[in-house]
Amino acid sequence: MYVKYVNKTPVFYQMGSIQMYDLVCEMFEYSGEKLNTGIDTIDNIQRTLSLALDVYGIMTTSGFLLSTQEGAPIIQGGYNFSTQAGDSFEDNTELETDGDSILDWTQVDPFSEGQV
Amino acid sequence: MFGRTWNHDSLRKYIIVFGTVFNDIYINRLSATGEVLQTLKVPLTYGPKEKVLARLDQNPTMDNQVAIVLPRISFEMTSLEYDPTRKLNTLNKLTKQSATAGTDDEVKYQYQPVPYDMQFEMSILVKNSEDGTRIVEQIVPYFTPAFTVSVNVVPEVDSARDIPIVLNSISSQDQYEGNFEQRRAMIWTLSFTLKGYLYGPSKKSKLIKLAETTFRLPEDVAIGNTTNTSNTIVVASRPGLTANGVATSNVAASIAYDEIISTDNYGFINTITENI
Repeated sequence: MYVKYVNKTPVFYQMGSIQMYDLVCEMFEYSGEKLNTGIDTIDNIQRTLSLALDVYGIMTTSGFLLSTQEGAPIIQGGYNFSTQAGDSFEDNTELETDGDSILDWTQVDPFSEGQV
Repeated sequence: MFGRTWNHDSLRKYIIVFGTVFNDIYINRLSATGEVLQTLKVPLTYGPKEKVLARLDQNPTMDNQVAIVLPRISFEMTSLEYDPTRKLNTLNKLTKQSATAGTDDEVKYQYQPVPYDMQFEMSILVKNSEDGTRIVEQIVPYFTPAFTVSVNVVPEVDSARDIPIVLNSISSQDQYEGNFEQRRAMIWTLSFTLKGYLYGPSKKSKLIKLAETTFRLPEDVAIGNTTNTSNTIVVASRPGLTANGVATSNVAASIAYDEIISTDNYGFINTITENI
């Protein structure tokens, strides 16, 4: 939860001074931000909800993620996106598993009949 | 319907095919010097974006630590339309020999599938506008305007078909205006057409092992008189195989045609009988 707006004068000096504030708050939208507040409750949000591959990727000593020439990240074998995403709003794994038996990726070059 | 029950799960398979194309998208976040600081895999969900936004606005519990985790892609099939331009003759048959050829010698067949255009809407929800552009720029170059995939919709009868997915339009929306109670939502909406086919029931029939064609000379034969064999030429075709398993075209050396199975190394015997 974070504060979006503070209204300092919802009731304007009713008793001769400001008695109250109105706070407009909103639940935080998490998008992979690195959290390092020192408060475990907040820092745990990154550990449990981050979609970043930092934990599973292979990093350089300077903290950069190694990737292939095509730009795909190099990920450790134990990586499982379903476990990482960890909520019911994720169909990647199911789509990939089911798609393997339906999609036919074998014909990569339909024009040269395998000559190139 | 019409006394037949079947399920090829065609529509489900097309949804999976569409989703599979987009289920492996990553975005990079770079440092000022261009090094990759962070790589995120984008979760994909089947369902309308309204469901995701409703979850944001009408969160039933306050126990969650955050409102939602972004970026996120959702997609849904919005409509089906018949496509007359791809229609072939309904009576064309697709046939395929049974997987257990040689034991049951059956052929599965099916009439020509019906072409349908399936409209898909894909929404990309992001928190940072740069995440959105990085996702979109990875998708768009593959669609020129179509990206074609080979799909096994009904593998028991049809072989893999090339199914184009056409990118129709792209729009972006940034709901940053409004009062403070309103949440900002950055959404890219991509509209696609998947040019698929829907299949009817598949049926089985026995292999044809004897074909006999009778030609009648019309002068002396009464119409409808099938018992009269005069003035006819009968052409018969059948497989030929000796008892030792050698292909033959000699009818006298062959075993009975109904004892020959589809996986045998058989020859062909054509006999012409003239009754003139």
